[in-house]
Amino acid sequence: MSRFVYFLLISNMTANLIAASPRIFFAKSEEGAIVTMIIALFFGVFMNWALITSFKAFPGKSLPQILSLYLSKWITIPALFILGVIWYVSGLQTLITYIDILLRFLTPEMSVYLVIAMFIPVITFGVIMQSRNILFTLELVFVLAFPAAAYYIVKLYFAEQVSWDHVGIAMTFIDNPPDYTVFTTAIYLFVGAFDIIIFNSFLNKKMTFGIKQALIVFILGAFALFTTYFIPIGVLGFDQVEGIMYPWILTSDSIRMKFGVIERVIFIFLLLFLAIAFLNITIHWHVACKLFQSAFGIEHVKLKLRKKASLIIVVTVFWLIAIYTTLKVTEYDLFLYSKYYFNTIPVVFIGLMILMHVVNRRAKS
Amino acid sequence: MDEATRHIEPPAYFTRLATRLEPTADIVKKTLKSRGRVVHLLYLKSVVDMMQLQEIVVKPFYEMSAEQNFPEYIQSLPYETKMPTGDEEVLIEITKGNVFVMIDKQITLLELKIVAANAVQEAIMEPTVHGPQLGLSESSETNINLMRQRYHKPSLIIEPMQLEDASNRDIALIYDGERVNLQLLKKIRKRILTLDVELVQASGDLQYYLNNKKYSLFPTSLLTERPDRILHNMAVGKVIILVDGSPHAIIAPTTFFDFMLSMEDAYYSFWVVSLIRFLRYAGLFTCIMLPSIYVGVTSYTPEVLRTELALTVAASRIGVPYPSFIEVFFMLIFIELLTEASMRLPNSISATATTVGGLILGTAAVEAALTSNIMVIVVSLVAISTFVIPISEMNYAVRVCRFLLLLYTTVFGLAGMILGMLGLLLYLVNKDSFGEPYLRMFWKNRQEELKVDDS
Repeated sequence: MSRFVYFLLISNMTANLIAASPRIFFAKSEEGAIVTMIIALFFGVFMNWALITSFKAFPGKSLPQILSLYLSKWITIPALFILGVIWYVSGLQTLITYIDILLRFLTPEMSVYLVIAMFIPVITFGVIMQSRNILFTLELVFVLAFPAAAYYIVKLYFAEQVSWDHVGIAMTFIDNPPDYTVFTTAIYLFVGAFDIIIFNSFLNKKMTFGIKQALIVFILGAFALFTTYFIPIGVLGFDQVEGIMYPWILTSDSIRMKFGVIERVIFIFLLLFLAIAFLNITIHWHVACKLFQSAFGIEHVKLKLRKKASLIIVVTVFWLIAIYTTLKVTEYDLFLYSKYYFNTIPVVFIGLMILMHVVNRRAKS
Repeated sequence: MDEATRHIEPPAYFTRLATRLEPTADIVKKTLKSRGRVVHLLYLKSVVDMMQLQEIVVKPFYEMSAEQNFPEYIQSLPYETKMPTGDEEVLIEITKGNVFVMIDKQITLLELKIVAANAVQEAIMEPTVHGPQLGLSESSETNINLMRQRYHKPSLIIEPMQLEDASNRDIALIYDGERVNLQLLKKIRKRILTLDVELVQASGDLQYYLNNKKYSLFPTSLLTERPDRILHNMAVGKVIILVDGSPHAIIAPTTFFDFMLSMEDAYYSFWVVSLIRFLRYAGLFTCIMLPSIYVGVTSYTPEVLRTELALTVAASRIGVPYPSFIEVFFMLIFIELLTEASMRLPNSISATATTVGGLILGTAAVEAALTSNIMVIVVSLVAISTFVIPISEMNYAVRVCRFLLLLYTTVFGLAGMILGMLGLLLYLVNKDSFGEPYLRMFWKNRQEELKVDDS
């Protein structure tokens, strides 16, 4: 696998910490969250394997290009459209969550409009950028953020506040039957690599998914799930964690840096995750934008001007919907809709795999 | 008699060229005549080396016996340059310092130019402790000589070109023919040939025109005066552009990291260089972000800092009558003025300017409660760390960026600062220099990675 695929995967895994997923896990902590997460871990690795293998035959081609080669318009257009919506919502969810977090914790006295306005120019530029450069940005941000992230993780695991007894209590609920919502939420951590449906056009080297890659994905996923679930339980306590809106923010805020210029770890968390969330939104929206553009056949229009116009239209629609929903959606709605959204992920995955299966068979014959 | 007059009367072509040059005062038309042989000379005395002309053309003309073949002699001289086609081109050659020699029907151009500014200058912009102390000279021939002297390879190619501007400036592309990317070379050549400019004075403005984008903030080609930097870049397949009369060479294409490289890095041991590099990048981030952090922390989220520090900052701001962003803007503009002033002033006065500006005004401003103590520290730190960036063009770009980021932070707070930085990163990553990505990480060999992308 190209290193960029890992970056995509990791960025999605980390972005989930601020989204609704931890809350969904904790809500079900006594109803089989652990066993579901273990199942999801294996399924997540399987998903990545299935994805990479299905794209193996088409190095350097994105999904719209592949579909237009082998399938009729009547299947391609709706499929791309649905995928576009899914990807757009994914970015939207992160955006709304982060705006909410900013308003609560970092800049409480700012108006919603101002916070949205802050995101608009930067994300718009990211969305309309060349795909290849988004991958480079991703890599650069990872390199720049790595020291802070590593410090943060070490600080979390070795903080005095983490009571491993609570983790032990949580472990005792391992024998409960699995739960569908937790399952979908957990496998959402693994869908980062699915961004290659667009970015594959820049990954010219043939990708392989062998034991080594599977092991890496497995370890990454296990670490992400373990951290997401057990660290807040260790810090906040098993019984209290269910009732908290943003468990990860409270977790970060319980830890101090005794000798730092910044005393509260939460600010490292917030600023670090602002970068991650921004990347996540940009990548997802970029993919969505490309999908919509190819769904409407705009890619084929030769005129440069018309292509630009279409880009403007897509981005404007993106923002209009985003602004409207940000203003309308309450925290409870966000939680609820996130659940619905996660629940559709397996369906989309199966649909995409069937599509790729058909395409692979046609490509062979 | 008849024959004699026919020889003395200059031929039509010669007269035609002469009349075109006539209005200028430094034109010399000469007819040498001896023993039935006639030679017509045409040159500009201000650009031609008279001593050489005397030694090489005039003296042998009169000393040679009748049997010896003077036209053959002239043609065998190593000073001969290629004869261009067209009157205009020949005239341009004459203005460059060539002597036009006409013997009967045979015409020759002899390059006997005299260049006043061919002394190699000391490296002022990028001084190093180790490494060569001298930079380039103002004559491109001397510069090419400097290149050749340091790079003994037959694949070093010098490609002369001429600009179609008002001054018909000579420029030269220099590259290693084995290593250069041909696609890139074609692109650069095309861009130079399609330039539509009034007048190119030096490498600096040629670089600006090559950039092709009027409002680009970051430089996409590098201007240097150091021969070692030129060779360092040429060895990795980049193209060097020399402009005659300018002591700077243009290196294209360049990436962001090239601007963060001082040639000194090549001359020290690994750990020393690692430390210096770390300092340099730390300086880069400091000088871009520190003013914004100050505004974000004091005006938006003071709780970011530990309590004692937040209180110290707040205490130092007691009495300052306006919000922090005005304070920062005021101090930053002040420091920019100071930098500009000390740069433009003659050496003897600039020390006074910095002392008065930096020490006296800085202290007075704090005592008058126009600015806080901590702000003075912040601004000094920013000013110092700006100068850590080795290439001055990047230095300027970063200074502009700092203000843009400050604006974004002023409006949106600390989160705006992080987003602004990410935006800057996006902008840089999205930029390219002659088709090469401007800012990206390379884990493997650079050329190897680029090849993988392109295939």
